[in-house]
Amino acid sequence: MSERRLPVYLLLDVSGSMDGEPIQAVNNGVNQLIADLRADPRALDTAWLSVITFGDEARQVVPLTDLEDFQMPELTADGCTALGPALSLLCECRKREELRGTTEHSGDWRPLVFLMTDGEQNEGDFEKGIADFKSMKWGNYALCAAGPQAEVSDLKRINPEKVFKLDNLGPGALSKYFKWVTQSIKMQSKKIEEGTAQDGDGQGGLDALPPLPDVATPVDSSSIPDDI
Amino acid sequence: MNVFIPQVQSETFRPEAGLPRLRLPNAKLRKPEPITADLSSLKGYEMLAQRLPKKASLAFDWGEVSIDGSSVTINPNTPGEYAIPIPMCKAGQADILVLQITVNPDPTALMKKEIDPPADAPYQKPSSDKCCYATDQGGHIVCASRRGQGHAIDGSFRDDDFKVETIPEKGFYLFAVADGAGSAIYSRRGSKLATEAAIENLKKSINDSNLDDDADGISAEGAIGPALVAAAKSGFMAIQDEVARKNSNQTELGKAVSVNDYNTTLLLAAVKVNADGGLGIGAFAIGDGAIVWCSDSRSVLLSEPDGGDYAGETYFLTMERLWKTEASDPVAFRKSRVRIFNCDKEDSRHGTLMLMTDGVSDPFFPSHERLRDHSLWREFLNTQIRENAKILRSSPPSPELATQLLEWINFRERGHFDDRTLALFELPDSNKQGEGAHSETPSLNSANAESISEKGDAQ
Repeated sequence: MSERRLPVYLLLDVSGSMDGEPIQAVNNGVNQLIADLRADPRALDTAWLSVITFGDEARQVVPLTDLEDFQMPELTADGCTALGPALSLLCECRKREELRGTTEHSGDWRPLVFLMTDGEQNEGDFEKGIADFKSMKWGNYALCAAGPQAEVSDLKRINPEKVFKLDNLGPGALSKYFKWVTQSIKMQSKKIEEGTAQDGDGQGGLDALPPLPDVATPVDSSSIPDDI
Repeated sequence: MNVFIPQVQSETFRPEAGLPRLRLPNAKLRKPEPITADLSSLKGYEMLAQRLPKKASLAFDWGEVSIDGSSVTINPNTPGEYAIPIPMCKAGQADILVLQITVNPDPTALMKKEIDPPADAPYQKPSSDKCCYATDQGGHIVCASRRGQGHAIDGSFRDDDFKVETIPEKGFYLFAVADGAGSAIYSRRGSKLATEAAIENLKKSINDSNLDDDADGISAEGAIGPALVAAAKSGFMAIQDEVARKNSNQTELGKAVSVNDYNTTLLLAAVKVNADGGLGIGAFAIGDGAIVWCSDSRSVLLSEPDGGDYAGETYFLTMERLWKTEASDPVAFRKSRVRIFNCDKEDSRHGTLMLMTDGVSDPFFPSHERLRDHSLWREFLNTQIRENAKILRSSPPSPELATQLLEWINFRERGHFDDRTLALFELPDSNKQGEGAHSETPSLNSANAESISEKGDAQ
């Protein structure tokens, strides 16, 4: 019998500016996300999770793990924002961890990626990170610029249609963000079960994901000058 | 040495900051097995080893915990997040070690909920359906269709449907199985309209024509191919008519609808038992699922799986571009979608025809290649249909057979919650009355396995 995994990568900013209340809110948010997903039978059957953090360097703190076995370490915040290296590491991890389809088995579903940053890329090779990320096809992804200091233009260079801004870094806003991520994962595992998950889901904007929480605003790509 | 340990209710216990903590591997009620962890492999154990009880057992209302040396065993029975306080002692000082464990719920138990769809929704449909018919040759037709566990916990309708018709005077048995798209709001109606209209149309074609006069069975050049395509098209047209009707009176559904709101797949088969006892089958498919003729020696796939392995995309009967293709080149369309299979009487008594939606085929045949693997089909038939559903070739037709199939079709497989429909047709082995076909000597070899990959066999 068959079972296809839905890989989910959480890319979390752990730079110095996240220290204190924000990183605590992220820890709480991820723990709540895991607890909520565990109550959803579809997610329990399909979801695999990985956490990649970026501060001075990008690090995969949890390799791709079955939701049932997942254990979240306590994150601490310090250093710069190695956003580019995090994207490159994401692609490396995916290449290593992904089960490819063979004649005998269906491969994994294309991964979901949720990236959250509160600052601007200032460590490592951003160009390479963007190029690596764009060279692969994703099930879907969302790029969250959290709080007033987050540099929207960095994220827009990855894909303007996938960027939204989170009002602030308070526990309320971050909690709503992680609830939205939870909803997105549940929605995708439901689509998979119904057979309505499509390759094209990752194309286009944020439309294929649940409505954004009230503390989030999509970035209007049309009002931003082209950065090419 | 047993050490007395006071029981502490985990629900009310709040581990204080600073107490030593160790996190154990997560437990899973999916497969309720005790979690045994060697504490000595956990970080910080050396410092604690001297102070831990050598042997202890604790009972909580969520499970039991026992300690034997450095080994801790946990038998959980309730999902949740637990902190287990283990009293430690050193030089008269009391302290507590906190073991933390996550107990995952059993997804199957979470799926047990059966929520009825809204009673005021249009197009009501029962959550399951089944039937059993006898054939003139003493064989049986058994069908079952069941709402998927995903729809059951969401309180939505079964989107699958099926329709069977027998024309005994002409030796014909007709089957239609359809899978309404999960993404389409009224697909439950689409699958019903498609199966009913297609079977009605096919029956009329057979009654009006001299298809039954074809003594050599069903031929690829004969009338059955065009009849199957016409039947499928009538299914599409029935949906178009429904859309036009509803849109002319929008108060009925509250808003305008389109054909895509009724998206459905369609699998069709017309079986003819010839005068000489041989069989002819004409089959037609749009969308996923499978039509297969399976015997001990070979399996012949009578449907072409649509869509890519990864796209998850499927074709629907309701895609207008498909019918434009048909209109511009009917011969090519027919060749791509109609399969013809003939066998003599001996073969006909050793094979089984099955039509199934992807809710049944996907868990067992996860790729297109697997759908062409004879050994898998033989195993499916012998293990699932014979052993688990207890439907033997020799089983006399009875309502119980349909009940058995409906119960079997509720099988639990990780990640598969879709609606499921299976229709099967088989004739008794005249040489082995009273025995099940599973007792036949298996005769698989690689040459036989090829028959399923040779389209020529099925055309």
